[in-house]
Amino acid sequence: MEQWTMPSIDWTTLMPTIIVILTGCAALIVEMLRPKQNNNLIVGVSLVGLGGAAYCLLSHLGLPEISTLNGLVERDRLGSIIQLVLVGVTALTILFSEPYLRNKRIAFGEFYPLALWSAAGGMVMASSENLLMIFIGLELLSIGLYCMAGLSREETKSEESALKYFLLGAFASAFLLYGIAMFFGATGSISLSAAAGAPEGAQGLLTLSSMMLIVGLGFKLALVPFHQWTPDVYQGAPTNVTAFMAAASKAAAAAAAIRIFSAFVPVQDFWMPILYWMAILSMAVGSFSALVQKDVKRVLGYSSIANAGYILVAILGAIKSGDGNFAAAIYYLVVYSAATVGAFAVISVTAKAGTEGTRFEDLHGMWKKAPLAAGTLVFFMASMIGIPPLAGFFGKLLIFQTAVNGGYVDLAIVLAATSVASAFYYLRIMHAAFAADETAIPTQAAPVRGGLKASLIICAASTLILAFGANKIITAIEGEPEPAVTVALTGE
Amino acid sequence: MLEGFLPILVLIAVAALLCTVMVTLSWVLGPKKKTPYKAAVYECGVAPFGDANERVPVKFYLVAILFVLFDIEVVFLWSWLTVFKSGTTDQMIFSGAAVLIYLLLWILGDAYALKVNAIDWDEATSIAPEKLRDTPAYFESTEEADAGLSTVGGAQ
Amino acid sequence: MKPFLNLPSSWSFLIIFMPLFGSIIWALFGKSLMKLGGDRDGKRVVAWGATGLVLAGFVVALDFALQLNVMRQAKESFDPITIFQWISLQSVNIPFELRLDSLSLTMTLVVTGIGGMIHWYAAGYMWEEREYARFFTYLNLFIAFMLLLVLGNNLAMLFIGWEGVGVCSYLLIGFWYKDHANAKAANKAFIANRVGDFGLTLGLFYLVYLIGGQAASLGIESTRWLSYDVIFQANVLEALSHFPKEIMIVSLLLFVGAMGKSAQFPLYVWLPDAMAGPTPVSALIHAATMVTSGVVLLNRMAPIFLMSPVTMSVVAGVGAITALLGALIAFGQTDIKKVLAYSTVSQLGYMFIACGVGVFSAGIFHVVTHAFFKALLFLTAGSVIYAMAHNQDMRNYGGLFKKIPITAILMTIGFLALIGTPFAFAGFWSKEAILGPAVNDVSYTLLLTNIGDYKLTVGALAGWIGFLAAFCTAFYMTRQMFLTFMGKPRWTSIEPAHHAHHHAAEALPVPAHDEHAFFMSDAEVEAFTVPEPEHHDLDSTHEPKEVPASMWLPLSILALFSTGPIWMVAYNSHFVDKWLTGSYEEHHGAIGHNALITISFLVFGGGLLAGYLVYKKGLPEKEGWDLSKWNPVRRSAMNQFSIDAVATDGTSTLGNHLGKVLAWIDVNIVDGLVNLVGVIAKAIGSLLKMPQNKGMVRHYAILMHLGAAAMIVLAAWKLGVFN
Repeated sequence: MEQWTMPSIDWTTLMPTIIVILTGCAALIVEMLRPKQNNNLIVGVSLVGLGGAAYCLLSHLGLPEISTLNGLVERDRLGSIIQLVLVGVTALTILFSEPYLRNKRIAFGEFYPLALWSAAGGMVMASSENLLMIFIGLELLSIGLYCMAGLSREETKSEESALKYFLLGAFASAFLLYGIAMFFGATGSISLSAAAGAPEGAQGLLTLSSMMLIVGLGFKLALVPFHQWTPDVYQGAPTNVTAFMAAASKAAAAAAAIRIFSAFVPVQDFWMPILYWMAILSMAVGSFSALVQKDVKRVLGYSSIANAGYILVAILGAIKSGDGNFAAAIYYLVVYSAATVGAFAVISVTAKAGTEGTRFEDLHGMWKKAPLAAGTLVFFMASMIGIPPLAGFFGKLLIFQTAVNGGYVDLAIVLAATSVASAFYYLRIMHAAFAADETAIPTQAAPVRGGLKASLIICAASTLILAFGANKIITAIEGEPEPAVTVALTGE
Repeated sequence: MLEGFLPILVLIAVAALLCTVMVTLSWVLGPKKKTPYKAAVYECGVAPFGDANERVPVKFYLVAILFVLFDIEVVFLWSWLTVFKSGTTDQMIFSGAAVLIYLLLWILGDAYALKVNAIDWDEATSIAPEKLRDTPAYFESTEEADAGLSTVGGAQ
Repeated sequence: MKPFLNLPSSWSFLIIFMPLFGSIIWALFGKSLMKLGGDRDGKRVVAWGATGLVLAGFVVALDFALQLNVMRQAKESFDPITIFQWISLQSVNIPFELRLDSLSLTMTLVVTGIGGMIHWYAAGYMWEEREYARFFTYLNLFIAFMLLLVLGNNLAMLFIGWEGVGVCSYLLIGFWYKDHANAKAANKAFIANRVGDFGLTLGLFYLVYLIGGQAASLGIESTRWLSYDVIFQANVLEALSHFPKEIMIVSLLLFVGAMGKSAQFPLYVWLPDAMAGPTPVSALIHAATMVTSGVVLLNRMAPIFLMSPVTMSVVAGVGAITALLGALIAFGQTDIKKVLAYSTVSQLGYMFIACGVGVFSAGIFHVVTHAFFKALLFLTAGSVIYAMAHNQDMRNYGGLFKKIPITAILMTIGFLALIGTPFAFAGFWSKEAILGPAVNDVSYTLLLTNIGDYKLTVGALAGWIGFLAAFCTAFYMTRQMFLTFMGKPRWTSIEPAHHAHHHAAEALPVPAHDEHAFFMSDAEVEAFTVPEPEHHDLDSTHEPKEVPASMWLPLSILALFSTGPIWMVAYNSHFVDKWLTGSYEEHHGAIGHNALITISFLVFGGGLLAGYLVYKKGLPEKEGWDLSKWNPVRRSAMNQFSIDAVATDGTSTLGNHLGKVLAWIDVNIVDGLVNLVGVIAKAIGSLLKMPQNKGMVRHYAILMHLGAAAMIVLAAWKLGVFN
């Protein structure tokens, strides 16, 4: 046996994750101390912690890419940016959670530590090339989400969603574990970098492993045919949890998917066609099923399926073209996260006295009751549709280019077609918020103040900032001075 | 490729076969004579009453879960300790620190469980009633405020 | 003069930025300023701020012009100044860049200089306006866009400026939007300009297609191929000249754009209606600057236009028709501003004649002189209107010389400049510079016929028509001056309380566009002005008052520049040619210099004399209130020879019918198809939703496992397990 040496630990790399975990602990301690009137202190502690983590991550962007803790944790641009997205999404969710939870009569301060730990799980998942670390991250992310989904204990829908999510998530985890075991069988290692050096005879096992991993990740990303939990869980879970789930879990899973798929390039002939069809099906099912829904949260659930398809197209295009430039996928993730958190924040306005109206009719007259919410909703929906100059447009444009570069013209066409179809239901949401139907039950709108206001404004602003700063962000992702598309109003 | 796994497969097959054979044989071969005495409660047992498929208080699950948590902790500690004893100083420091962190987190969890009265059988709710109110801002603009239900906030 | 600031060229963005900044400030904080500093001081801040920013731009531009003058002597010029990267794609790069050359700087000086004077004047003219800040917001914004148009170094920036000034023009014509007629006039201007812009857009697209599509074969290496310095390289132009047909189409389309903006026949119809805006706006936008942007476009694109004799002939021809038509219609107008509006249309025609016969620099020369004296005329007309209780009908004036002498003298200077008083006034020299080369043109336009040795080209014919129009100009302007300032006061015969508005409305079957004889409607007066005891309608009790100094001071500066001496020097030393084109070549033609001067003299004198004879006794009987006594030709001229009616009503009727057909197609066929797509999409959605219907988690799990199983089977098949 070789000599055991103490692993060298680069604390700066681990710092953001550690900070988020400790913030979660601190939030739990505050909760245990039982603040009587409100959870403002918990929110404050959480936000401060997340701010610290974000600061660390921002300082990471310029640092060289390294691997630490015996190769368990990576510090690279992909990881740092996805971690930044996770931290941002968590902060934005926490910002608007307090008023929502109160109005929904969900008085669990436990939401905050759970969200923070979930985020930490996502951060672990996003920054490791080690399959077991990815698995642990995934579990940490998921278990928190299972609990949070069932947070509204009095509602059967919430319970149902938690149970469904848990059951199906357990299956997905099992598949993922199978995949990891097979990977180990094929390569003798659980580090993704070992895939390239897999022996010739292990191809079959490696392929099988890739299939299993796709099932596991497909579940988290909500790709067809592993998508069916999405609308149910999105609808049933408390709205702030849904916002977190939609953005954070997708971002972390996408990061893991990028790492895993990149590693499996040696057997890409076997799994690429499958992902190709999964992408087409996801875009089609997501966009078309949403057309006939009556509940806004369900619509956004299907929209998340379609968006997962778009992200998959970007990943596939980047892998196929062989340049390993995932800027399109990552940029789109960032854009999608901002818009989707914002959209759910808008919906959270309808909560009042323990109930919540999430059908289209329930949004009627929001323009009058909560003009800020309705106004920012325009930004989110327009960004999701992809109307310039909002960020969604540039995101879709980049994906389109990436797909075409990778030779997936047909995927690009499906993307464009389903985007057009999806415009319908996004506009329908917008229309509902602005409709002044006198006969309809008026929106029960909570006042838009404090954290909710901040969250809405930040999300809406970021749909613009991300568009005008597209250059800078893509440069940060690619780490190169010359991005593929530069359309910006920056003065350089 | 798969040759290496053949012994495991054989082992699984043998184990499954053995179990099946043993259970089946005892069921087939064993004599089955039912008498009232055999069906009666053994010695000082209590005579059964009611339906066995009864709803169980959810508290049982909480206690069970906590028990499982303790179990898992012991499993971890046990396996850690066996390695720890024979380790070098470096290994002791490293693994000791890791386990310490683990234990701290675990204690935090336990403290939380105690604090929310998870094992306190009679405890009703762990929620502060004040937190079940709407946001204070909400009261300012509704008829509930006029009805005097508001305790916080006030007109601007 | 030597450059006095020696600013680095990268500072040139200040010229545009300053008025833009002002506009933003007035828009955001204008009202707060009024509240904060009180109405009086707030208005002062806005007025001085707005004027100061524009005049500061003038100073900066002047410095650059002087720098350029120095650089010229060393055969140098400014490089394009990139402010920031705007659109940057792989195949095309459109930076936000400025071009400091003689043309752009000349126009900048005109826009900022005259614009500054007009801002100054407007500060007094609009004093009683409540929405003072809004007015200066638009006015400063207009200046910014106009400067963008002239200073931009590529076609995209020209287009932004072009549309921007259009929007500002729309906003300012409709400044008093509560009056329906003003809103209509604003719409008309906007829509008529759309026709022109349609041409411009097509022209630009075609040019972009032509240059961009063949950039490599044209020898263009830069991706900035929308920029002037790239397009107008000698080798590119040489290569373009191999596409004569395409160039002809491009230049004709661009000319359509210029026609719209510069109010050429038949797209001039919006300009007279645009007089509904406040008078400073008429002076700034609809006389001095915006309407000349067509001429600027032609000058910019001169190398393209010069390649096509057909286009040049069309330009000259349309210019000549416009010059004459505008002059003729002016005879039928009784509204003092309308006369000046048609005079502007007519003068714009001269500028296009100049471009058509290849002396583009003379076009700009006339733009500059015209900017001075027409701005002066409009502003003095504004002063007259101001003095006459906002009544614009000249039939109510008369004998005002004694009442408002300063205004009268200033207007007379403008008048003398416009009619081309030989030697002493500006208009003479710029008209000479146009009509001289025009009548001698042999090479730029198509030949019509030979008269002896004299070659009558389209350009030459346009030149002769120009002389005819000059005669008419002298005639109708004399009419205006006499009706306004000479003879006996006529408003004294208006009964009090039975004021002119009603009088006119009862007596006249007025054409639709003239139904508001007032500068403001009654409702406007109530809505917008602070009621004052002396503010009343024009009637016999009215006593005209001279305008305050803040209003006539800027006018005297304009008047100074409307007089001849500097322009004479400019003309005789060929300064304009040398400055604008960098070289000068002597024009030698069949009609010599002295002959031209003689003709000009005759034309000027004849017009003046005719006017004097007809109008020396004041308003003639057959031009009075009773329209039936009017000469039928004049009556027809009053209605623009029905051109407006045909153009506007005809197109709108046609448009209505076409619209109905299209609406039917849209509702029944297009919408039907769209709805069909929607129905199909929904059906697909319902189909895809089916497995979800029961919401059973076991079904979900089964589908998930089936999916995984399918994937494994597929992989096994691919791996060749089944073979």
